[in-house]
Amino acid sequence: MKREMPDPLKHHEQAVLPAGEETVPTDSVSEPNAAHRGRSPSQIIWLKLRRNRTAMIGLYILALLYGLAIIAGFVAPYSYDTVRNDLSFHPPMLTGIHFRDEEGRLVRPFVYASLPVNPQLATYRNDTARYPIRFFVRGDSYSILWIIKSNIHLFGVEEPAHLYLFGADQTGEDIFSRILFGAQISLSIGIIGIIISTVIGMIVGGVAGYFGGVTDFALMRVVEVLLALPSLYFILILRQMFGTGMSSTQIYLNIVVILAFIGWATEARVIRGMVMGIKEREYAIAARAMGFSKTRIIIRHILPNTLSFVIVTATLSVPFYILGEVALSFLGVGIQLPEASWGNMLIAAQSNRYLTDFPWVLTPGFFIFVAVMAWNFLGDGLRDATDPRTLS
Amino acid sequence: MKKLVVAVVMTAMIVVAGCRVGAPGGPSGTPNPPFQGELPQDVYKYTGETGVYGGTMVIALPDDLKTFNIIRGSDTATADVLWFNVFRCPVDYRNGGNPPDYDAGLCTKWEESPDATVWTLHLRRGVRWSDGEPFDADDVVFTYNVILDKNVDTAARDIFIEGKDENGDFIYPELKKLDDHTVRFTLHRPNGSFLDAIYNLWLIPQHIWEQPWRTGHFADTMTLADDPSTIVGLGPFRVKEYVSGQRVVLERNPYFWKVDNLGQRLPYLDRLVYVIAKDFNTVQSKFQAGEIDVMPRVRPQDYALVKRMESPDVTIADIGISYDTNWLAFNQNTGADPRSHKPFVERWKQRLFRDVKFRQAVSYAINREALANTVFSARAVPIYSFVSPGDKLWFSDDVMKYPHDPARSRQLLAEIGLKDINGDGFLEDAEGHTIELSVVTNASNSQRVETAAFCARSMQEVGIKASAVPIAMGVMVDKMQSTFDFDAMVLGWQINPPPGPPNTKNIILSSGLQHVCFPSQEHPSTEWEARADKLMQQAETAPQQAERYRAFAEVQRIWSEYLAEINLVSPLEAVAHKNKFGNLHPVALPPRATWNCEEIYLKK
Amino acid sequence: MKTFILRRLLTAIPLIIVVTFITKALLVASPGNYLDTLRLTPSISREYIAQMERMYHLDSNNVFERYWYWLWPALKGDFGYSFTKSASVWSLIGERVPNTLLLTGSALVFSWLFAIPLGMLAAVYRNRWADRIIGFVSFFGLSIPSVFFSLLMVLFAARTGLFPAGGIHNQTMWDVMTPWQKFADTLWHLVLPMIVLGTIGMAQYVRQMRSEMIETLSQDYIRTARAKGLSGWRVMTRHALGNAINPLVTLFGFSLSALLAGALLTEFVFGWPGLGTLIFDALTSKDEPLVMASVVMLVSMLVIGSLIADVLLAIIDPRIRLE
Repeated sequence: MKREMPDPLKHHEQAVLPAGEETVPTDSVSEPNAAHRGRSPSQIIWLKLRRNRTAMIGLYILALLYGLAIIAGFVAPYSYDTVRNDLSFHPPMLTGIHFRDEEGRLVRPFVYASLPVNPQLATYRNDTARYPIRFFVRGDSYSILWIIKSNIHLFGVEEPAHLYLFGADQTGEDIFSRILFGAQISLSIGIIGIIISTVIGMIVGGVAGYFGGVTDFALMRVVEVLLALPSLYFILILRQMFGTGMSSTQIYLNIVVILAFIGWATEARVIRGMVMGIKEREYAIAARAMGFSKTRIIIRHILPNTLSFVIVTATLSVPFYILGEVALSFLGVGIQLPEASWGNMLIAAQSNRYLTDFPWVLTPGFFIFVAVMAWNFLGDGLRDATDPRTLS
Repeated sequence: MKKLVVAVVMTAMIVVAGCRVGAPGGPSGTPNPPFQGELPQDVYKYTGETGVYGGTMVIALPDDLKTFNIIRGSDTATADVLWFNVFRCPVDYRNGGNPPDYDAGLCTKWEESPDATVWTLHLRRGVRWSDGEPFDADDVVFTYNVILDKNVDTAARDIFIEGKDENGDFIYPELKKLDDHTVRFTLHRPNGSFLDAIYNLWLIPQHIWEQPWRTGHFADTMTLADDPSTIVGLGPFRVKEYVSGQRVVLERNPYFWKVDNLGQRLPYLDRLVYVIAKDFNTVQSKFQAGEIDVMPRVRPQDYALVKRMESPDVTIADIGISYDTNWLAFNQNTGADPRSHKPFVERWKQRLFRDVKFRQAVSYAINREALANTVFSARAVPIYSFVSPGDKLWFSDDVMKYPHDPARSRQLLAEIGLKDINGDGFLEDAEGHTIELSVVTNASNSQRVETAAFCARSMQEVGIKASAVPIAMGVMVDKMQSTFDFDAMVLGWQINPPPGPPNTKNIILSSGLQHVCFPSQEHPSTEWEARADKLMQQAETAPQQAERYRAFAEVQRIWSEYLAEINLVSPLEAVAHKNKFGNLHPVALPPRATWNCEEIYLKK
Repeated sequence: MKTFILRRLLTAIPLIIVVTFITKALLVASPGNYLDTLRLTPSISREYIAQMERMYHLDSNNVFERYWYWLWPALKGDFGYSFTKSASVWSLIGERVPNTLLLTGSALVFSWLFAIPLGMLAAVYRNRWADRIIGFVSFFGLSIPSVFFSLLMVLFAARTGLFPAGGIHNQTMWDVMTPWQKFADTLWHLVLPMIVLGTIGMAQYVRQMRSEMIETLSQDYIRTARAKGLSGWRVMTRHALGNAINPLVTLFGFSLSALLAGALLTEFVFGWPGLGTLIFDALTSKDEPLVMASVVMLVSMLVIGSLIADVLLAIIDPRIRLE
């Protein structure tokens, strides 16, 4: 007897036919969801977003990461350039935090100091003295947002013990601390870069879309050229122009500007399309009839209507900037050591020997992954939330 | 009659030698590819350890090849792969070159006129190129003409320069062919060490390259894209395969013209494979995995790690002090920008940097042993001369030394009028300028960056507010040779062979491009620079070797006292290799492990 | 059709001119040139360096002049010799292009091979566990940085020894291997980088495929076909797939153009000797002819790729008319 192959479309039909999970009322357009009645569009978007679990997970992760980045100096037990050459490539100490003493009694968590067994092999053994983990300890000085200066850290241990939560790199710098300081650079480049390129994109797209004609033609050709450039290579060429001999702030600004310079083209193109559509709508024509200046119309009437789309595109483009900085720093033309960025921390992992013997050098990569994924979750959620076709 | 006796004895010897086939230590294995062509009549007999045929040696190559054209290439990859392996000079070294002990090779002998202006080379008869064509004096003359041709971009020409004529053109020695196997160099000035220059005369075949050269296409010859079989030389190997960025494979040259003491033709090895790997850690893991047999450059920072791989199968050979030097130089330039008329160095800094006591104070402030131990992982030695002690021939120990003495340093600084007036811990001069300066260096070389940081810290300890500033190499070269806007610079020289006066004159002469403290001077601005200039000329051209040494030693003394460069350390070199090779005698000169590649063999 | 193709190719020419001019301008503006290492070698005289500068036209700071020195021979087909390696630029590029194509091409096949069925599955089993798993995998591929993924793979290879930790083939024995051994060796080296690029590429297409498939499946004609009694598989493959695939063809065209440009980081980490690493080295050593020729190559690839995408779309979808 011939065995019937399971019908693949059966599940699909079950899914789309009204069956509880997805209610699609036929007159959904004219009768919006009750909860949305009387709310402004942004409130509606926010409510829709809140129902999306993955998007909220993304949002929470981002809040956590950016929050930690801001108070990095406080949370990190050390500064990003605190060197301990005698503890090069020390392994992570997450399992090295003991809660029980020799007799098995519960005590305040403590660690042992490490003594080198073979510096070249980076093997260590525990010393005998116990160093408890204290909270609100004094350590390296730092500043939060350049305003608040302090040297109190959330937790730490007394010298000569050294608390390496995620392990140490070649010069004994604490990877956990460097990841927190690196977050400041790698994550902020995303935000600043996207702001710059969005502003440029909106201006260019708005002007091109509204004025049309020769302006539009010229600007769109520029956009085309930018989109035709193989982006990573041109970013590299532009970085070559400036070299690596500048101060770290200058390099940071240089990277942000270059990334934004390459990145604004996609947004501009789409905004231009939207503007071309919007300018024929009634309110735009009415505004023109009322005699408002063209600039005012663009800025106050047309562009705000592109806002929801712009925000979604921007959110989904942040990874481009984060990954761009990571690529540049990894290739050696971005943020230079000893400053910490998630990209230049991965340089150590490029060497096979360090990677196999000390795999904790790969930790920054995991954080990059999490940050990018969170932005993608959020962006996806925002896209669904702002799409008028989806409900709740 | 005597000739007959000699012939009989020689035949008997050969027969006896032949009967040793199969004995332990005797030849075994067949050469692949097999030898071709007859041997030269007076064949060069290698008299060292006898080896066996067969095997491959895999060597790490840190940079990709730039070209196969040995006349035009001048970088380390060219040196490693082509020098001695594929191409040969008229003379060989007996010991890898340190100190140079010249040996007959393609020349059976050479003669020097008493006034060292006429050099006659007698070439070996019966030698063949790697394509089977015969080698003779025409090839030598041809190679020399190519090198001297202004339209050919080669750095090899510079070593033959003897001076300038009234038109400002360079003068070179004349080369004449006396007969098919004799050539004569006639110099315009006596040069007792002319053999050093001949060492740079890597011979190329006239029968292949004359035509492209005459039609002006020499730059298109022997490129990386060419069929390897067109790369013809006199070395024991020839190019079999090249894959860009990955490897170069050399195979035995079946026409090679040397034999060993048993009459077996050399080379012993079948193949030499160079694996291109830029990152040291890649090289090291390949070495551990057995893919690479020889690591010719073990850097100071990697030495301890590599040393732990030592085993019955692996040797880490300490080959002595490198020829490379590391130094710190102050900008003593008195010139000004031609357009803005602003002096390159501010006047008060000029006064300071040009004061020898200031430079000596800095030299005393730097603890060279500590520098060697930390930045160079204890694999370096302090140096006080611009010639590294590794150069056994030209190094002079009779120089002024600066053991670490911060007290003396502070005393010298006080003597020139520097005092800490405002109590901030840093010295000021009489006009109130804080002695603040920056030390630039090449950002892409982490060792230089650390050295610069070390020097800056040392200066801070004696009250000079110094900071290290790593910059891109292009910018640094600009500062050094065009814009001259820097205070101090940390860098190092990598001396190409042959070491000695010819290859250091651009550094020493006040007119030199690499005379970092004040390059390209029309006239020397100080009396010690003038003295050094005169002595350099003597060092190059005095007919007696002893005179040349004396002159060069005196230059070293002057430099150690007046510190155009404050020399810091020279690294120690090491070569890691598998023990399965015989006759491997690495030296600290390029190409380090393969200068005697025809003698190396794989032990059974 | 022909005029359309011709016109697109013609508009590519000014694009290439503009892009190459910008490149040249940026190169001229960068401090230093490739002769810098020579300037630091004491045994090389300044006259030699000056001669080299004249020969390679590096002595002028005028962008137009330097551009013309490049453009005029290029128009005649001579793209010059690389500064750093004495080989013609095209021979160097030609050596590396097959390596990159091998990598990105196999990654492209890999990603499509998985994207289409996975996208279909996700659409069909919508919101069930199959869809969620596939969704997670595609998010993974979208979000994971290629650098991190490549490094993870290298770690995996080095630790387990199952695959080589980088490189394209065995360097020491290649010249004495049989063709079959060479083939197997290359394949063995190809697996890990292909997985990295393939997974990342696949993620994009899976999501597109899924959403297109969902839209298509809700169309009326699908319901009609089902009502007529056609089996699920037949409906999906013959009716739905053909229509859902249209937007993906455009994506395919873009992937074609990214074939040469998209693998720099992966090549770097795996030590894969491809076009990406060649261009990167050329950039860092300021090897101008090589950089210029590579840019020409990359932009042309982009134009050709999008052209192929448009043509394919026109062939597949009769609704589209090429203007």
